[in-house]
Amino acid sequence: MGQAIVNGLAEGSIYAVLAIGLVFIYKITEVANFAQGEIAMVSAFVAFTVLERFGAPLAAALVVAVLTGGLAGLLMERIAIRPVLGSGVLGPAVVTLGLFFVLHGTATVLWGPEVHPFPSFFGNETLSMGGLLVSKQHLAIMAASLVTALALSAFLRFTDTGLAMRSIPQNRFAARLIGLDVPRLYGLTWMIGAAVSAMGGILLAPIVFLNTNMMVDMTNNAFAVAVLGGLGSLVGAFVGGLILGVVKNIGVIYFPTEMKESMAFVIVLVVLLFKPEGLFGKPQFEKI
Amino acid sequence: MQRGLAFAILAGSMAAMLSGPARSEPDMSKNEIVIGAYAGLTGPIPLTGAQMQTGWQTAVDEINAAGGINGRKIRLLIEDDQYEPSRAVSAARKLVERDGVFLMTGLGTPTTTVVARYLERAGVPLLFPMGASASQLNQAGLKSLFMAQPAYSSQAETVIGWMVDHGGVKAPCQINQVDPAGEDHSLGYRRAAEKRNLPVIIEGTERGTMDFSAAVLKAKNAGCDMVYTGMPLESSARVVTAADRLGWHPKFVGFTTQADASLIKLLGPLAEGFHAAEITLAPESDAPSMRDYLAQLKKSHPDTPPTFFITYAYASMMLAAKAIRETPEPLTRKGVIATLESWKEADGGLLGPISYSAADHDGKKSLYIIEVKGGRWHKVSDWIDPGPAR
Amino acid sequence: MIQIEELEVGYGRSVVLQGLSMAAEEGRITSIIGSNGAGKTTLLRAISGMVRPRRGSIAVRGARLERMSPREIVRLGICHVPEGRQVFPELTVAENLRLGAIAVGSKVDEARQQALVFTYFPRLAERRGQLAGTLSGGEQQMLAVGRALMAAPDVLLLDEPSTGLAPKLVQQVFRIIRELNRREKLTVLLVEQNPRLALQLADYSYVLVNGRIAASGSADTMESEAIVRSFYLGSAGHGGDAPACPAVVGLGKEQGD
Repeated sequence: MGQAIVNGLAEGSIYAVLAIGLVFIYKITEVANFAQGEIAMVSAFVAFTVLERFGAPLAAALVVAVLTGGLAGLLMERIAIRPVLGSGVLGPAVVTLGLFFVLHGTATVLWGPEVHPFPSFFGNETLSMGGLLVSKQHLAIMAASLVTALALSAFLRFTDTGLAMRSIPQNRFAARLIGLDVPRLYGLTWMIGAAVSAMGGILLAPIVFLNTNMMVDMTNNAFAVAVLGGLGSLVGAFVGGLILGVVKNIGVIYFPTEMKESMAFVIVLVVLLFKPEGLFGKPQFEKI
Repeated sequence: MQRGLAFAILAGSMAAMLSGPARSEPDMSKNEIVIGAYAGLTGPIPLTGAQMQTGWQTAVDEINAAGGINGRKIRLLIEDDQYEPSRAVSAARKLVERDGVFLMTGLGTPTTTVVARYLERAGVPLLFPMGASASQLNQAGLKSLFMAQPAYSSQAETVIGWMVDHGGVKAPCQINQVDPAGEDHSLGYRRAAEKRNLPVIIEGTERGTMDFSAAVLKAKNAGCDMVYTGMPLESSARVVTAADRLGWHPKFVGFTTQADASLIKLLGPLAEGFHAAEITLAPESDAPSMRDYLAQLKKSHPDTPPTFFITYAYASMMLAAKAIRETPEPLTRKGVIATLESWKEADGGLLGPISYSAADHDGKKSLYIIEVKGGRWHKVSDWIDPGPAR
Repeated sequence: MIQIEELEVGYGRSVVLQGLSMAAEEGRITSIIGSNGAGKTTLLRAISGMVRPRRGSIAVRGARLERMSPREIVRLGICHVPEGRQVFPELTVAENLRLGAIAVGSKVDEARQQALVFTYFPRLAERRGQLAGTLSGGEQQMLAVGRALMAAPDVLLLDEPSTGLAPKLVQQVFRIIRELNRREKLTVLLVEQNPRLALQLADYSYVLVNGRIAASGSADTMESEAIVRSFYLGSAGHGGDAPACPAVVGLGKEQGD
């Protein structure tokens, strides 16, 4: 049981990393980014190419990957999202779904269907704490997702840019009217959200191996986590990820392992029945 | 996937019914045998298609250079089906009805599923196609289809049986991907376990699972000392790393899919001790059939490495030639089928011993066990041939 | 100060402002009176850059606004206080105010402007930590004005500040506008549906009917014109499109600028 909880926390922290980027973008721009995981995958492949082709040190490759992710987010917002922003909720969602396929397909063409080992920055050792085992890589992911959630929350809470970002979804008309640079803030939001997911990609790749399908299942779970945590809460995304991971791993002790993946959606459904705004979401003021 | 398959079968059957298949035997030429093949030379699997083509052609070159089969040279006609069932059926119809091929082979699970049913009606033998789940086809009871790769169920049964009987394993268990192939692996595992009065412990995981910790922890807590992974190669590797993170190092076992250098590349030192199954001789083997093959490949396709698909295609074409050679004159399709059904531990060359019966066309059950030692796969058993099903 | 010539604004096929010309003098309060749908709000949005005119020009101290973004216009010192409660409901009063300053960047002294806002609206100082969405209607209106003042503007565009407020509160808001104009030397362009209130406050007024200026004049001359009142009050009751009033034709001739 103890080990199942630890495994769940480890698995959940992976969902959390991706969900945090997802929630960040959704919170500010109100766009569900279905391509989030694919940005992570492409960024990890870029790191891999930099490592293999140019023999760069690992740290440099990881920095390149995060920058790639950020740039990808910026370009996506600029080229694909901005033109359809006026077309309701479905327009941007369909565009991000399209971007999922574009990124997935392009990556398959560029890097092929092969699966590659990916080096870990933290080593592959496992630590034992009171008989419970957890790998260094998982600990790193847990720490990274917590730090990211807190850092982004602090950024939104305590900086001028963060305040400006938070104001936009509450009243986009007024935000423009008082002279906020809404397009630039949207671009910045996508850049940050995508860079966070790129970080998730390079943290995850050593565990699941680098391949073009590595993020598909993760993205599904990250969406479940985002809804579970309450779509507007970064800390909710972190805690939601851990809860989902733990419940799934404890659940399989009592139910067949085959049921594990469907449990995510049962949990989400149950939470939404009793708390439609998610665990950490606030009931919203009426949007103007 | 299942629905897609069912639809493909339906479409294929309808196409077959409409065609009014030619059941009559073709007039055999005294100096030529035409063999047809379908393969995806373009489309999603062009690399595999090209390798199969290379292997088939290498065998045909070798046979024809030696004067053919009983004086008849082989003419090989390959149609590109782009890995699409409907195109594969059209290709097969063209080959049978227009080109008058004597027998057929091919590549691809979805395409073979459909083409096999058309050829069954047309009475044309379909020999040793390369497709993933052989038992699905074999269970359909097709008289004209002969498979030369062991079904997953057969592989699982043989490999797990060997691990218990010879590998010091006491409590084998299985982690599968929940799909038809996974079901096949379970079937074989159950048979092996029942035969030895061992409990059955199976953990099913979804396709695309990235974190196997939960399934692995359950297997560990169940007291398993061996895990058979019925899933794609990279998933098996994830199972091994998930166990390693739990400080658990049981014996890990796979089947033909895991018998690949990329498993070692992915796992590094963790790959040590991984067991898998191989169904063709390794290029390092010093068997005469391997030496002949490598020499011929060098002659026909210089600079081409002997990959699994090339080796399999070559070996299966040589096997088809053997069946024709052993069939008494006058050469007929029925005669070839009768010859194949009479094989008992016949020498399948690179494919090892092969045994068919009238009831069992899934006759290539022979395999041998390989294990990763010192960063390379090593053969650790002789050919194991469970023989035809009773 | 604000010079508008031949302004034409429309949405899709409909034309809202058709060749409108007007001016607002520096340091004065200018009001635009008109019924619902006359184009008052569209006029303010055109000035603040929220809608792009099809033709015509908008000039402020020589700068041409009609191709500028709202951000550029705000940075010129022209702030629009929109109709309704256009605050950020889930931010505190203090945060709402800060945004007004953030939007124009480092050139304003945030502390000084906040002190100014709190002297005019002591209520906002009391509620500074409260979420804007929990404020009363009058307080939200004050907050919207205060947020605009945070940008240290020269020109305030006010869209129906009286809407939905109790008469006593309206008087209070209008008194503050008057004070801002006098003491802070703010040029005010006020859009108002209630002609009595507008005329009472403004130094000069325009009557807007169906996207055109129908009449204009200083407060005393306008008020004396019974025609204006009869046409205006007559149509206000109907709401929606202002009916063509016989007086409009006559008044149109008087259009001076």
